[in-house]
Amino acid sequence: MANREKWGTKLGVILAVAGSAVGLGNFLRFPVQAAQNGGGAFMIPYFIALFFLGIPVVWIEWAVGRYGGLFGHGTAPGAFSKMSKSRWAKYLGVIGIFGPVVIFIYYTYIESWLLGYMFFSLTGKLLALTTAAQMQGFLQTYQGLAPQSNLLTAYIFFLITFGLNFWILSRGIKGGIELLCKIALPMLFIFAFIVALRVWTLGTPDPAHPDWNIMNGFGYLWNPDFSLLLNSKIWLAAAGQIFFTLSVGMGSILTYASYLSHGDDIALSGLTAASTNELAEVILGGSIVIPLAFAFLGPLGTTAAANSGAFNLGFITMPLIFGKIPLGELFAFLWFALLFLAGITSSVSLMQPAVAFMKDDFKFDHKKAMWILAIITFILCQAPIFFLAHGVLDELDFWAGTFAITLFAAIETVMFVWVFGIERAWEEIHHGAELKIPAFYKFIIKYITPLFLFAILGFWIIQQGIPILFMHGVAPQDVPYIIATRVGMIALFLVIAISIKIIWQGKKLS
Amino acid sequence: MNLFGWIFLIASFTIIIGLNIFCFYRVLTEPEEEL
Repeated sequence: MANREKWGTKLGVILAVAGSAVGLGNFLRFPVQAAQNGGGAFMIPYFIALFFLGIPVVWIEWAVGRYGGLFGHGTAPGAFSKMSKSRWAKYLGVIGIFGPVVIFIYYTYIESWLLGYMFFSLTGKLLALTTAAQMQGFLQTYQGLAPQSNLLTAYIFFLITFGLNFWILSRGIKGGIELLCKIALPMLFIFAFIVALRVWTLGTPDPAHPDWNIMNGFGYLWNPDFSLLLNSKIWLAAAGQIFFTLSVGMGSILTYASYLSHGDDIALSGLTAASTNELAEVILGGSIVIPLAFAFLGPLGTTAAANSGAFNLGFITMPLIFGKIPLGELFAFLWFALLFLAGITSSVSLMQPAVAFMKDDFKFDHKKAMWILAIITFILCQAPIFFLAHGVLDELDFWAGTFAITLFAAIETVMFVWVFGIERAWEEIHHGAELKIPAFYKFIIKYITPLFLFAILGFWIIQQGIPILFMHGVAPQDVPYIIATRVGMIALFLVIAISIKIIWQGKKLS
Repeated sequence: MNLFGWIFLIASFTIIIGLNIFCFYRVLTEPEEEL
């Protein structure tokens, strides 16, 4: 316990948590969600979800992590075992290791595409493409999905990205993750601000369409449609967006907080990290994609681009538009660079729970933990790379990136508030706090936040989980790949659960 | 952009920038210590 790593500075841990939270979703998912769900009116449920769901879960996850760290545990199984006397409690924490590892497996591959696109932006190869079909073809060739294409280029960028992640992780908490976030997060904000400034000053780029201008682009995103406020869909969309954007339920914040001392503040630090994430999302994320798309594609084109998904918007629509503005190569590079920085500060946080588990519970030294995890995850990463066309990445994304994180957040909240007890939970959050949380939050944390979480979980299970479970819409030739992916995920889950059983048996004997 | 759009944009930006300034002011004015 005495040898556990610690953060260097308070600002360092805040930036690391903010770096974990700021991801691709801030710049791609948020503006699309807002534009599709009532524009400015979306911000009403969005802020309600932020203050009643997001920030309380952030405080819970920080508090659970710091509490576990007190006993030398950096992951959920150890923390839960100290919060409940039940021998089953530790097994509920398995998801807190399983989820981030599975997300890391496909997230690093997507992150490597951003690195590749940074390179192709600078060489001019990307912006030489002038139609959506060409851009789509380029992406498919890069991914090895187009006929007679190969994965060599994508694989080289993946190797660089994967190596970079483990190099940073190998340098530890203070010299690796904290240093990365202290450099990368300010750079990300500077890059995003430069791109946003270019967007704000574009005016009316096409005189043939005077209505297609940046101001109307902001109107497309912000003009409220109040009628939609009566629709439960936008309330769930807002809650889902808040949940995703703050990176709660992944186990990463829990692990990061475990490297704090028990007297360190979490109330103000948690709120600061969350508000930094919001700054990136609403102000910068809301100022780039949609206004830019509107000014060049008009209302119908923007709607079509938004409906094609956040991913296409980032990789196809944005480079196409950058190709039409002066110094487009530079702005395209800054765009993909900021997304890459957002990606890498998140991906290192996804692997840290597994690193902590290896070191705290298996008692491996740092080097050994790094090598074991690098080998295991490298092998697992091959599935979404080589079987992308068969839906492996999407399958991993739903079960780990949507289902597991929501379930884990619900479990974590119930464990902390109801099993550990609201009085102890409240005291734990306030221990060393540099911010007095208003008393009404005690009621919110106890009743409203769990209700919110179970509503999201139930909604996603019914709307997405059941069709995905029964493989509705999956092509017959892809079914074996989907089944193999599920078998792999179950095997990984069981390996972690059995490891926990063996570790705790060892503890009992010793 | 209509009037309500401006109201929502300005209100949202104000809430977030205000919260961020409040938080960082509190963090940075507390004496920094090795954690």
